[in-house]
Amino acid sequence: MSNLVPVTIDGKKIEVPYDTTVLDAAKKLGIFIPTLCHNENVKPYGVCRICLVEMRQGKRSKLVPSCVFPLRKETEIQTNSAKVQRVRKWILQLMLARSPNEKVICDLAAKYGVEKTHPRFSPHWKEETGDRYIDESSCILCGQCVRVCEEIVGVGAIAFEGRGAHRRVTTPFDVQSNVCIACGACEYVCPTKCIGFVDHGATRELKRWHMNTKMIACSKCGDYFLPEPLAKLYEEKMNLPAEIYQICPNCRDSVFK
Amino acid sequence: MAEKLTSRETLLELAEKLAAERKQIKQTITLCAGTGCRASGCMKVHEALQEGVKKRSWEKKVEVRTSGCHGLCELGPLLVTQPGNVFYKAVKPEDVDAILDETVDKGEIVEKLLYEDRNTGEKIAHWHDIPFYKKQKRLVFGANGEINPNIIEDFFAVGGYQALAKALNSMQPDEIVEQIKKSGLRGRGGGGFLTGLKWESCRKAHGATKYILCNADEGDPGAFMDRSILEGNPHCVIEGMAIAALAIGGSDGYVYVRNEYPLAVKNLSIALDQAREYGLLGENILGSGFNFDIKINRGGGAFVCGESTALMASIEGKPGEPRAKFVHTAEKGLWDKPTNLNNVETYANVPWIVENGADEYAAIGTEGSKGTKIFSLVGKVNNTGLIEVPMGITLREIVYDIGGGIPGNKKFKAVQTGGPAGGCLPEEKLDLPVDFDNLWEAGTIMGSGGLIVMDEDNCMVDVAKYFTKFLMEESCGKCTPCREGLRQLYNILVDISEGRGQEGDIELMEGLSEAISAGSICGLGQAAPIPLLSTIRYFRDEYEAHIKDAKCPAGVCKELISYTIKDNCNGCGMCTRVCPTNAIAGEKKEIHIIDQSKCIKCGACYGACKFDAIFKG
Repeated sequence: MSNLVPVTIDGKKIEVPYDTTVLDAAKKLGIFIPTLCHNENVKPYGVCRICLVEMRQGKRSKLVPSCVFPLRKETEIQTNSAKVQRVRKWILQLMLARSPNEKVICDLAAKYGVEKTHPRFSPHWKEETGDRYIDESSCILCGQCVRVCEEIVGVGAIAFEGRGAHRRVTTPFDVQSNVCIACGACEYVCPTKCIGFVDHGATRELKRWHMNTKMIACSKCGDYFLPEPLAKLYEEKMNLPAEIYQICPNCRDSVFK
Repeated sequence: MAEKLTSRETLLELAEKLAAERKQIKQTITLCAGTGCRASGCMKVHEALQEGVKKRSWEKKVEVRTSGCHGLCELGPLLVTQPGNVFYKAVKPEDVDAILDETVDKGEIVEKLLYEDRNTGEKIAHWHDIPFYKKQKRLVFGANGEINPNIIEDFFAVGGYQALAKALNSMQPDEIVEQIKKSGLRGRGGGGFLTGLKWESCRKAHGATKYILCNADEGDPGAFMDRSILEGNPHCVIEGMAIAALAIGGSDGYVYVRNEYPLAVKNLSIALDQAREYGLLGENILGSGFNFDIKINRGGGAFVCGESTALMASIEGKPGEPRAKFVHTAEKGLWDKPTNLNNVETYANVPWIVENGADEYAAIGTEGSKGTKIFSLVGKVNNTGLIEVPMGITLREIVYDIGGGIPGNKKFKAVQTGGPAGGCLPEEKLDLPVDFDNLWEAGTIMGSGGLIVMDEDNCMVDVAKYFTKFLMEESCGKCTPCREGLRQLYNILVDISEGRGQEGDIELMEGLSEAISAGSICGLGQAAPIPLLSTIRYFRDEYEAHIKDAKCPAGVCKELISYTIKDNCNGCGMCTRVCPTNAIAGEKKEIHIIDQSKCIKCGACYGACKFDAIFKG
């Protein structure tokens, strides 16, 4: 089924291959649709619901998340209909209630005319978990870290835990993971930078995953540059000279030329 | 080890032989052994019956049989004696001698064990005369009271597996799909989608492997239709699934059943083994060359796993979370293979349709909803239990004729249909004929068939709060509107029920509800605002009383009520004796007083006062 499907987005017409998502079709037309959980390097997830658009096929019309909705027959899309605007504002207010201090949320909300959350909405609850006090309000549960860790890095050190409003991302049993390689890909993709990633020199900390990982110092310049478990994984997977893991990228040129 | 049945003829021969054998037994006592009656102690009655029969050396003439649920759980343990169809309720082990010596031996009736009509006081001896059963049409559920679910031969004797044999022998797959389409059967799990259309799209989907799944993850509070079918007549579900597999081209089946249903799991496992032994599952079923088998997958107790994609994720060993299903599961379901998922009750309807024909099935019910529906009738109603009624019956008939009305002469207030995400219908909707479309138009859903009756003592804000809390806690939390939205809805409902409601809260909740319904991934979030919206629609005055006057008209919301003692108190002192916080003081024969600062509003005094001297409000 490699035929083309005619689509109209906000009045602009285009033909796209069968199963193209609305988001990708809109991109081709230069139409912007806001996203939060979407990352084109991993499988679409469709959970933040900020990319909802109004879809019409014949008489049928409903809101669909553009990042996962596959175009399979003639479809009309409105990215900014009255209903889309209404529902998007509610979702932004819900997000602001949970994460009032996250710039990415505040900016997006402001862009769509939401200055602050509804006065009747309560903030995210805080809970005591054992001896740790965890403030989850900075995490928007987009799941990019979880998907990148599993699909790209391939270690699957973190996952969702808990149900409903108790849902959060963590390591198994909430303790330091023995498969995390401290690569920091999670921090890289995180829209709110809430992992708590800090390089302390001899160690690298990822607060949210309870990680404190030893770093390897460059045998030339002495700078700490590579987490030990990451080096070990590279060694297992790639057939490269062992000393490459002892020399930082800056010094490598002079040594391996 | 039973010998495998190799053809339709061998099955029919065996059924005839078994039916004839059964006729030899002069008398039977069928004891309900569903979960409800087990909880009321029916297994002790069973022991006593067996001992009693042995003591009298009647083993050859009297058969004591345990069966699945008879439906009238309120009055269990239940039993029926044959011949004569005598129905006894609330039977205790000490009643066994009377039953054996009077009824079984002499054909006389034991008066004290008979059903008594609450309104007329009349005692009714025969089960089909009891109003609870009179208006029912027990198409699917009928055999439940006749067979022992652990004995496949019982099922053969009432015509079991003959629909499968017929389908294998004389019907083409397309013909089966056509029959199911023509019958108008709609999914009994809640969606109400036309079963035949579902089967057709899965049949047409490309793929060598296709899965046939049965959804037995019945998680609605107060609902036990599917449990009772699996416990009482598991073979009819197996037969329905096998027919579906034949029609669709499926080779592997799964029943996804809650682990909290141990008896259902046990009886289903036994039934699967017996069906395999007889060659009704496995390879070359009834010598036809058709292969199909079923595995049991036990669920871990998450409500959301009743949602199709979450259920499939759970079978795959992944967290039970729903996903977008714009590509239907009929095309890409379990392990991305074409998959057909139906509910227990849907499959249980299939053999009847194949056996009796689509036209006969379509003759029952309404324009858009055919056949019967099983409901669990619970709450403030005299006859709680499981009922099977034709589509189109009115709510009034269900609540008053079958259910026997409201206990304690209280006033009917509402009936909630469709489980936790269903809506509440008020008195003016009592004459509504029950079917998928009527319920939807009235602002509620058929759901899987829960019916909770509420009376004047139920506060509708409290009801909405309860169900919103249930759904908030059962939300998987994957998508924003459901996870964050239900939490906000619940918090506002808590505020309203505790006197902190604000002007505009109703409109706020209505607006937010639209976003939750339109924005959520799966049916849980999409339907979650229904309890709230339906109670606002029909009981808006109750919300307003809470918000504007800080009053709970039903006297349920603790923060909005207080107990005071009226002038007609004669100082008997009963209230002081039951008060757990010593909040009531007063001299003997003098009017007592409640110290409001100590009162925890438990209502103990209100219940204990014999002179109606305590005011609640």
